[in-house]
Amino acid sequence: MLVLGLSFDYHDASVCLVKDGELLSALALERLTLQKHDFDYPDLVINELLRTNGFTTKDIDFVTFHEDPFAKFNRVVTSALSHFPKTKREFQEVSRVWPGRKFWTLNRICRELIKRPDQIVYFSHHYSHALYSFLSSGFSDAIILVVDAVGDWGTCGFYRGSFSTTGEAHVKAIEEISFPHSLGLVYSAVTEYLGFNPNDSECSTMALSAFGQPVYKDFFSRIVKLTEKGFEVDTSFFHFQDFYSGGVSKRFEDEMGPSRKKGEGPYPFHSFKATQLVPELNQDDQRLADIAASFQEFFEEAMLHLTKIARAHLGSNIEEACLCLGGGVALNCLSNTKILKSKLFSRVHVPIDPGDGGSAVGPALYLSSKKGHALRGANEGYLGCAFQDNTQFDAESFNYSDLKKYTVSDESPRSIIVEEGLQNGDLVSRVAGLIEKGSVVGWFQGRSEFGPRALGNRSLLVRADDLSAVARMSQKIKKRASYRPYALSILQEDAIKFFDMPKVLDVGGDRVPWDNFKRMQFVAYANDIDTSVIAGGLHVDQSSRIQVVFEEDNSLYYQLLVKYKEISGVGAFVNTSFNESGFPLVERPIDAMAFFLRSSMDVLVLNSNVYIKEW
Amino acid sequence: MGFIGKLRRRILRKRLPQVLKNFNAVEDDGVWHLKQAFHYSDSKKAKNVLLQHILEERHHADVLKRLYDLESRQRFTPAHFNRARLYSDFSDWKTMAYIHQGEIDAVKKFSKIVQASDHAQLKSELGKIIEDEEGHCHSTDGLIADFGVGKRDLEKELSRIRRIRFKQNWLTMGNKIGLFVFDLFATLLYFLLGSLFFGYAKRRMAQPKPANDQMQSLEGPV
Repeated sequence: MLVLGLSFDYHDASVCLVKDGELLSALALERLTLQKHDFDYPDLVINELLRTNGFTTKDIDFVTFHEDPFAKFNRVVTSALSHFPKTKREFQEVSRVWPGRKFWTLNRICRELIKRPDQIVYFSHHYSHALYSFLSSGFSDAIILVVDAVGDWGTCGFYRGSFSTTGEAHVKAIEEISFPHSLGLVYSAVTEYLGFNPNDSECSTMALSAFGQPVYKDFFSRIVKLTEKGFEVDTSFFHFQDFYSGGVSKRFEDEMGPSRKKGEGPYPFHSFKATQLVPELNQDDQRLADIAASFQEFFEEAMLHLTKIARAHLGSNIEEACLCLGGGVALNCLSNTKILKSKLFSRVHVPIDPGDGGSAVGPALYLSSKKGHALRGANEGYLGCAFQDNTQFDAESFNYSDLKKYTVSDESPRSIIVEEGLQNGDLVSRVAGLIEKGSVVGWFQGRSEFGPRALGNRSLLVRADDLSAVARMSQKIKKRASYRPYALSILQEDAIKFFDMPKVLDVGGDRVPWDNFKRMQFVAYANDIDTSVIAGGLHVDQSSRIQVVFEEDNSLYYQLLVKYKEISGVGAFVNTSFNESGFPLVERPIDAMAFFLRSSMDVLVLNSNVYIKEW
Repeated sequence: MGFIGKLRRRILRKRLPQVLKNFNAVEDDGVWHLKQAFHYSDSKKAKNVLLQHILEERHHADVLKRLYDLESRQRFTPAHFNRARLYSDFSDWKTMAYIHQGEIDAVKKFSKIVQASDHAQLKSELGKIIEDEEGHCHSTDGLIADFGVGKRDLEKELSRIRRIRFKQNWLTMGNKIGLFVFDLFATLLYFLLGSLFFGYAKRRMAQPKPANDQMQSLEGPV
């Protein structure tokens, strides 16, 4: 049985293929269209995944969809009318897109894929998140907490997941909090208030929070009340329903001051503590950093509060309490870590893409389970496409001097040396040596990662103690704000050495939940030792969103780290996503090559071929 | 400058940020098609040319974004494009013909903006882009000739592309007028429904809603 899982039409459209219970592939549309958070009908991805796996549309038995369009339509219309007469524009928008298109999404799927209506199965949005979160966890019994901006009606939901003795999955809803009470929307509104793009740059809010003090936490406690069932938002401080009026309301700005406007420049903070750079602050920079810090701290408390409610739902006679987190809010690694450290649960799982991209996967897996198939590969991370290096252009006759006009860094190499066909041992030796010499290396291998994190197949790598190289990566390659920290890929023994690894309560005592540190979903704080060798991967508060690399997860990447440690003495380097600012992770070789040529990247490794710029 | 010229200038000044945003998206769309051509092409020579184009077009998109940032008070969020394969079976020369026509159109549109604008930096930056695009027209022309395509076949394909573009432009304009009329209708409907159902909607918003854990199809629960 072949199931095609779809999510599209709001943001982060994605597709997955599940064959007889095995998750074969998953890919977000943005990777092929190069438009971040692309939401269109993902026919490009459908065709690509079917072709790569040797199927056609005729082979598809079922198609699952991540949302209930009818419930969502109900919500958007009710929301617009309930805020009459302030929501004229919103109602116009609803009228434009729903009757003509979104209401008929499921019919469209039937038409495009030539399927019968009974072959299209849809789930509510939060349920889709819950399914992926649970089914990818490996837990036999768990409570699931889903928190995001809004799905159909739900903004926060509690579910219980389990497997029967026959191996069939059961996921039941317990309770849900509905729109407009939404923690996710509050986070997005605060993100916009701070001058960042909502639904995209919430990570910037998190990064900025390290530079402030939580002096305004009481304000957020007042406007988002934590209750017995969850929380309630005082929506007079926001424009959740009349969203064309902005994120926060005038009432919010009257109390907290004006929002960050375009033209006020980037925040002057620097994430490397070791650079000793003293930012030139104005009063407003610090005020806004304090607001970020206040909100982040409140948000973590709110998530912990929800976790306690989840724990109560699980009951007390559970030997091993397991929690699955889902929804876009589960990308907040600071709050995830707080939950982990609370020891309310002995095991916590976050799927590799807890956001809307991942919501395509859970329904497909669940349907497969219900149809009697044992699930396999549900927690796989490298689910995208693999490519041959087809970028061989005529490097000798290429006009390098012209590159200066077209690169982001006003530099151009004299030439590019191409070393082809390096096999594993030679490849890792060569690349480890280049990293050790201070090169910024674009590393492109195998199948791409599913979700927003680069985990060693689509990564930019640089040595973590060379702060000038890290700064060059920020300014001339990634075009990234200085207050945003980088993350580390690190070997287990070095993680133990440099970091105070969080522990959870287990039957035999405390243990480090290594599974939680494989995918940059949790943070660790550096020990009180000399960490200058990893300074480039630490935030100003000495935290790092580490990826502990094990051989069984990514053998080649692991070997690279081991080799690098042999040469440099440190089993860690900075790993950041291989993408240009404003664009998704590179998916195909040409995306990587174009970025390589446009930027100050020194080396590009495409499978077994190494391209080295001669400056 | 005549009345029409002054009017054009005034309209352009008002719409300039949106125009720049749209052109940024057009350039990025061009990059996408060039990358598709690169990805599927087998010719090393074509790849060299395509790579140069990709870098230049991407640079143009950056320039347009920079100009937008100067002209607009809003933060830049890219305009969305529906990415669609041009041809179900990839064809080297037909894709290049599409790109070639795109370069010709770009030169015309940017030239009109340069004529209508009195903004020195805009004129200068767009002037450089026009020079590049004219260069692209020559190189795509050369590349198509290298594929061994006859002039007649090429003209036929370019003509087909021009007809599609013309139709798309008309549809876009018609769509704008249609949307305007539709919005008027939607506004009337909003005031009618709002005044009748405002209370009910407010009560509905406040009601708790049960979580949905059903598998459903268009034919009912699964």
